[in-house]
Amino acid sequence: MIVCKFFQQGYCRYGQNCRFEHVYGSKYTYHATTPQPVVTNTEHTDEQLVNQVQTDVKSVLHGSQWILSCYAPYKEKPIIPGIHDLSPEEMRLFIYESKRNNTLEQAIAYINNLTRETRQKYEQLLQPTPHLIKVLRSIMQYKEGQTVLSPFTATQSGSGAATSVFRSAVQSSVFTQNNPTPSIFSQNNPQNMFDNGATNNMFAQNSTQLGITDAGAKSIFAQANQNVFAQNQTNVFSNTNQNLQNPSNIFASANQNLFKQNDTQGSPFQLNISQQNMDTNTFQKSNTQQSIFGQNVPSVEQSGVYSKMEELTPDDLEAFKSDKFQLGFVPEIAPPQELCNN
Amino acid sequence: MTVTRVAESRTEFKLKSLPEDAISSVKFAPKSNQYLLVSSWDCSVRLYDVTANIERHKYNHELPVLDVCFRDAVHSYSGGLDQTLKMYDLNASTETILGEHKGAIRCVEFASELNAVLTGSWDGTVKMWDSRVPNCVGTYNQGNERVYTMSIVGEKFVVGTSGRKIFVWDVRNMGHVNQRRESSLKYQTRCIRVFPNKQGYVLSSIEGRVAVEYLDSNPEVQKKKYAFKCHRIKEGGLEKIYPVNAISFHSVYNTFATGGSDGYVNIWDGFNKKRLCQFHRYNTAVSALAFSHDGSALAIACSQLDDSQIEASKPEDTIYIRYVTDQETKPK
Repeated sequence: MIVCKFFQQGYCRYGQNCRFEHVYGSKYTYHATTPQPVVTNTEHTDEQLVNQVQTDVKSVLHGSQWILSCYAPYKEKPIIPGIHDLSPEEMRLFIYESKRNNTLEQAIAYINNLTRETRQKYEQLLQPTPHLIKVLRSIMQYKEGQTVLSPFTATQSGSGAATSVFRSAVQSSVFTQNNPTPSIFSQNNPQNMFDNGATNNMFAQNSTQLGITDAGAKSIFAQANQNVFAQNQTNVFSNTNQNLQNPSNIFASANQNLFKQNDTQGSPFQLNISQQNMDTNTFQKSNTQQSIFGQNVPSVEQSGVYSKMEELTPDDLEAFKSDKFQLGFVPEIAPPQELCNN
Repeated sequence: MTVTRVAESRTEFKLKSLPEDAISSVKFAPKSNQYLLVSSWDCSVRLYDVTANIERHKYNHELPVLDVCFRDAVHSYSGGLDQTLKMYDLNASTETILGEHKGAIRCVEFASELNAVLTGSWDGTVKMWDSRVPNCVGTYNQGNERVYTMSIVGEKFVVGTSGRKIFVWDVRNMGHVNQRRESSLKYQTRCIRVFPNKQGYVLSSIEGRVAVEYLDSNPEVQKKKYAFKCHRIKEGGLEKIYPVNAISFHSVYNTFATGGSDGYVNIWDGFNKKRLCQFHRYNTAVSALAFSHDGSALAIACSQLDDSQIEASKPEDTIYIRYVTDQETKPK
């Protein structure tokens, strides 16, 4: 028998006399009353979508709200992917554990990093790029089972991994058992971020979870990327270029730049941290210093930080071998280990 | 709308021999307003005799304790970062370990309907324990999201997790979730409490906002839900936003108190949508609240939870007991 489509929608005027089969659909919906006319989503202009987000984010940033929280811009709709929840208790646990393991400075630096990255994500939401508008609209029109793209650059997947440290860490009690979660040190997938300046690619989603140092590496490029297209900020790369001797210094010098920028915003743990500590602890994986989780990173896992020689294009190889990076020709993947050691 | 500020000394006092670190939770005994359980980040659980203002019992966990609850006047349950659920017999002063979670235990609640203890953890599950035998009766996954807050009244059991998800269960039938919802607030859920009349629940977020929602999925009822801003302070043009850390219901009047990191406690009438009262500002953030079973006393725990706000001197962790009046808590 043919299924009556009006019955499935909730209002068949023939009722029992209908010649088609009245079957309940797989998604059984019961309409007590005739359905109200649905407010179509096209009534929300792009501008309204963006304004809502901008108003919200401005009050978040100015009101010194707890920044490590997910954000759902529209009522009854899902969250913007890429920003994750962290409760004050979880952060407190993290600091307590680090005090016990004597890794307090690293933990504080990590928290600062996480806070700063999350803050940057929120700030990104203030810029109404086409991709962001697309994501907002997909949230507004969300139906069960759809996936929403993340509107953030690949920087953010780094901190996605960072907060996933908390989620998986808490689940597997990293601190008590000293087991590193595999996601921290997994290989990164290189993403082409300098693709002819097309803005779409700036926000291409990087699905793998990057390590913490990779997040730092990526963020350098992300920042430079934004600088190139924004054209109103100093170019991060011109700063780092002056200090560059070999590619491994990207991490050290850019590190200084990043954290110096952070300083003016007032990092949360001002009392306890010093610039030097942050420089040494978060970005130098190549030494035998203990990682944040109190475990020496074996050299095998360090290959997760460096890319392989085969992954480099000839251009990348040239760029790494040369003294300075040229704007527009900066490799988007990490240098291979071979080129990093002098 | 008047805001009454009550004089400090008359009906409010500070408890003595307080914990040495932040206070995570306070709970009054089920049938008496004399006894108060306090869990703290100094790894201790303490029982206070409030009328005499002395500490009666104290026992420790290995790691900070995040929540505690009474089963009856004699037994308490507590859990925390050590992932272990402990039962303590207050008469015999003995501890029993009931079991473990795979992550820190964030919430402990007692379901009197079933004589069972429910624990919510950051490992994404809620476990039910039979209170008489140290046995985990069931484990219920909360969508793999960390449990942040739980509340149970009668058979209605509501869990608030990370990612702004809310799960409504019927404790008598934990085979499936009754409702799976998204929070109506835009940011991280901080606290949920079910109305004493079980019609709905109140939920608060880190964004200085509280929402009142109803459990009946009938659209007519759902229209009544609303949210309001609170615990915000305007400082020279900027509005500082504080998380609302704690909610507690007055069991008789169905009004509720909210405590925020701004250091204020407000009392609200949820049905008439009015604020009834605001107490004086406390020295630091309010981290936990508990009304006694008859609504005569309110325990207010003040601790700085947000480490990023720490100034040079750490503010003192205190618990105030306030004997509230009808004028403060009764709907007009």
